[in-house]
Amino acid sequence: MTENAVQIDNLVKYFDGRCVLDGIDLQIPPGCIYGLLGRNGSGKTTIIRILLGLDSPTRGQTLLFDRNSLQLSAHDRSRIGYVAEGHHLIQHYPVAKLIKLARGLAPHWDAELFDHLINTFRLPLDRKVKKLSTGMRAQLNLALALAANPELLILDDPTLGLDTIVRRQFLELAIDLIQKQGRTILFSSHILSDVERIADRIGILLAGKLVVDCPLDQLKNRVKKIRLIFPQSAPTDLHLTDIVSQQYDNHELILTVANWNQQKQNYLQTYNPTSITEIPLSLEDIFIECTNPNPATLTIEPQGDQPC
Amino acid sequence: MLTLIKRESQSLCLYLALPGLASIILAILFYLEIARRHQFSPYSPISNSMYEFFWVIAFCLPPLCAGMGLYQMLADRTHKISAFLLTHATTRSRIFLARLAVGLIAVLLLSLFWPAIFAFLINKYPRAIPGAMEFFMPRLIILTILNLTCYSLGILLGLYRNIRIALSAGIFLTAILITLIAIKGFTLTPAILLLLIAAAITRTWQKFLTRPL
Repeated sequence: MTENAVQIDNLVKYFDGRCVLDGIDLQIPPGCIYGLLGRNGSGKTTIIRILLGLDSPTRGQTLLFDRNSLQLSAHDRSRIGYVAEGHHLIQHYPVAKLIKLARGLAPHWDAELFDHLINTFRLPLDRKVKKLSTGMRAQLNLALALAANPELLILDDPTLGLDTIVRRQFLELAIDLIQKQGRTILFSSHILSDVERIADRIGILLAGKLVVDCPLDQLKNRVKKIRLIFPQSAPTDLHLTDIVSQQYDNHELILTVANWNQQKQNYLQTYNPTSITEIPLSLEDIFIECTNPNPATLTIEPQGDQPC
Repeated sequence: MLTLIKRESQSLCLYLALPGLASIILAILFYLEIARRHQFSPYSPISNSMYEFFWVIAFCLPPLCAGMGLYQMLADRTHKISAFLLTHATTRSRIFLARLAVGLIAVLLLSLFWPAIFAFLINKYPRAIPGAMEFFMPRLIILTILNLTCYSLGILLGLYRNIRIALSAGIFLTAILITLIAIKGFTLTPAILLLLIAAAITRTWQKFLTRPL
């Protein structure tokens, strides 16, 4: 049996009596690029912190390479690279000292790659980390994580605060890494075009629950936005399951439906609309629909066992 | 592990620079004073000076050691050092062990510096300080254990979120221990202090392994 790079079983986390994560189950096989999405405060960073053993779960467990996150050995940790939201490096250290420290801790340090990255980013080695710009800190954080040659790279909103050029550079590096065989990436970001570009599986967190967990293509096929035009007033009592949102405008009805299939399309035909057109949805549109404050219903059921 | 020990040592050097320098200056003054008195009256006892110096050390070192423990843990939290280290190939236990090892060695160096100075002076002026070895050495050993106790309490209190409470509790506990010594003299059972050290380190370790970083 192959080991999962990431496995989360019934993860529950409370902060001061407030439920932040409510029974999350997730598996990420090796080689998968997983985009974890959610609004601010939805629990993305908490999941990542628990995965890395920086925080403990209230209930449930998380495993990295089939090893409990709270019992990861130094060898297990050497297989993981992490780029944190806000880039939590040791701020009062000069860059060169921080690099020396990270190099001393990494058993598989790729000096060639690191030198290449440092030269590409033109990072000033004598400056203190806190004196670097946000972009430079992100680049340093990424360079340190990549040079350790990780099998699993966890990126927690790494492009936050970066300009377009640096963001693009950052993504290209991530794509380079992906092309190396067997690398797994867990990627959380608010810039959905970035996620759409590299992820092959998507998870969406909503109110502490993982409401979507499926391949990106499947998500796009399963969530549809449909415009229906009726000869008379649009019906208000549609008995259709999985409606995420609906907007009425006299003769027009715009529906967003999860778990879309032929059966649902046939059912809508029974209302005799004059036209049914599909409005194309980007990942960002799907995300906005899915994280609507009052979604009528939302759980995207994966079709069969489809790995990345 | 070596990288972690090196990092901890460098970090602690900043804290130890001032007390280290102060200790050296104090030791030189101490030596000069004893030498001066010995020069004027080589056969009269000069142990009073040694007592005075001894009490200065006894009152200064324990708070310094408690402060060192507090500093290690507070600096760690302020600069998110363990959070950074833990995202590399290491574990919480290793981080803690490296910190503890460096801290204990620093306390021992700081504490054993004084018995060394006393031993040197007693050897140099044996007639001037009759019975000094028997008097000072057991007390300096107790003082070393007291320093280790204060350091252990310091690292434990440094884990608490509220810096003011941690500092106040550190000062309070150190004051209690020093007062105990002042009242009861150096007859305090080392076993009690050793028990305190073991309890504080165990609790700190357990807390460090489970707290959010």
